Amino acid sequence: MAVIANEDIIVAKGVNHDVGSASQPLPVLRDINLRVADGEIVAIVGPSGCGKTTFLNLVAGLERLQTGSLLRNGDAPRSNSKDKTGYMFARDALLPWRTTLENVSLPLEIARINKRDREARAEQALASVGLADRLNSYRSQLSQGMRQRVALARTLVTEPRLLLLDEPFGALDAQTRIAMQELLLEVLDRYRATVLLVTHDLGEAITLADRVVLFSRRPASVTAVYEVRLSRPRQAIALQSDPEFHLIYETIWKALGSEVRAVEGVS
Amino acid sequence: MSQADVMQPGLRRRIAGGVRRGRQSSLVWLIRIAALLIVFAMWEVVARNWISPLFIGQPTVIFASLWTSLHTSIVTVDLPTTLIETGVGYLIGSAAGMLVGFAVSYYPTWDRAFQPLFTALNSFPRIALTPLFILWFGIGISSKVALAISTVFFVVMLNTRAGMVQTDRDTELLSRSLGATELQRLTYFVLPAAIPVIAVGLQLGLVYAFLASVGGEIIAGEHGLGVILGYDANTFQTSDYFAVLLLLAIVTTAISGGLAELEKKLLWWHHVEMGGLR
Repeated sequence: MAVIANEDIIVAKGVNHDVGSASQPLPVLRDINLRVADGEIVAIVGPSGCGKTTFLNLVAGLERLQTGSLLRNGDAPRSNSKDKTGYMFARDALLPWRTTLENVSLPLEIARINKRDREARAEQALASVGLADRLNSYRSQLSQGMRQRVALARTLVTEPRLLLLDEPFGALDAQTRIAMQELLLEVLDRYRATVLLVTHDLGEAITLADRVVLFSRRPASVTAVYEVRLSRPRQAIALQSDPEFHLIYETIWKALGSEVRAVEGVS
Repeated sequence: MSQADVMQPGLRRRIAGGVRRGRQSSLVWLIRIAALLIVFAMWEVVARNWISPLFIGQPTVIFASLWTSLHTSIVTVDLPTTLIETGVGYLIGSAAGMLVGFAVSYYPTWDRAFQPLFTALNSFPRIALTPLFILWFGIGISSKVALAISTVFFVVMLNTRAGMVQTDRDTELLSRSLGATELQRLTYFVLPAAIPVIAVGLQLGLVYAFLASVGGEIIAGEHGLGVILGYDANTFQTSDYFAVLLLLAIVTTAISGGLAELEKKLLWWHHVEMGGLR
């Protein structure tokens, strides 16, 4: 495969996806078309249960593609491929019998990297999320925010070129979430990666992304794409009082709100 | 580097039972001993004045009998017999139980096929098999070992199976997203999570093994504490009976307690994780 600069990392064309039985299929995704360029940060927002995660799982290779075409780095997505994709989800999924360092080393252990290298890399990853002093802590000794930082370090330790984030801070309280967005922005400034982020938090999407993709209610299709022209480096806390941020927020919310209201049955 | 080396001192204290609990433990022991003394004193008074020791024994006689039995074949022959029956039955039963538990958790079709049979055999009162096992294996050790295996096997097998199939959606997703092989999935994710559940089965299994061997001996046997219990009760040597009972209680408590301590040491992370709930 020839590697071309600025080649799109993700190319989805006419992706459809059904769940449920063959006799009673429940359509989840309808004709999804989406491109994510190298180094781009794209957020998918949409009403809850609309199929955002399903799409992310397709990109991750965790769900089998049914119809349409979906390419990741020019190939069909596979969960065990060597093209360095990191997946992070709302719950930390830290193994309680492993220390922080051992949890972060886990992806490297699975990739059969020797102990000295993986520990050095895990330490480095933990330092990058500000947890250099918690190497030997266990999950039960960490706050929710710290656990999610460990999970972020575990996602970064393999140095993935593509990060798939599924509601990465969805289980956190509002303050911790903003602190984590701040941290993620900082990490992404140093460490350039392509990011596909799924979130129900529109503020989070605007804070982090270059582009916000709006999914409709189920069966989901792309209803609109918004460019977020906020300069980088961004600061999550400063953005909270940025008028431009709020302008973008209002624009997208008008479209998102009608989808949410339709799902929830309120007018 | 062992886990103990990287464990922080604070964590180790929490596992040991906590600073506060440490201070309280002498009080706990005081209450325990006082309660025992009161029970034995009341028992002694009742046996001397109101109810014949023929029915309830008499603590002073019981302790004297226990002391004498330490120098008789009860300790040199019967206790070892019971321990061997229990131990051999326990080891074979739990090894087989774990193996079958792993197998059925890995092959859901087999699991579904055998589930009704397992449930039926597990709820069946195994002690009813004693006459059959005596017919097959004789009156000696083998029949009690067989009985112990039949009880230990199911509790260990069912716990192993339960531990292996408790799928945590998040860890499953993590293991798949990291591209773990099937063997890695088992060794990194499934097995460590299953071990605390298997440990519960192993601890229960030990209690069941003792139940089976002593129960079997009471029904029929050559040697063993159960044989002595049956003999003492039938000959109205009630205090001797209680002495053997006491010996049995001390031995089983010591062994089960030792196993529980071992579990706490090996699975300390589980106790820390569950710290808020226990």
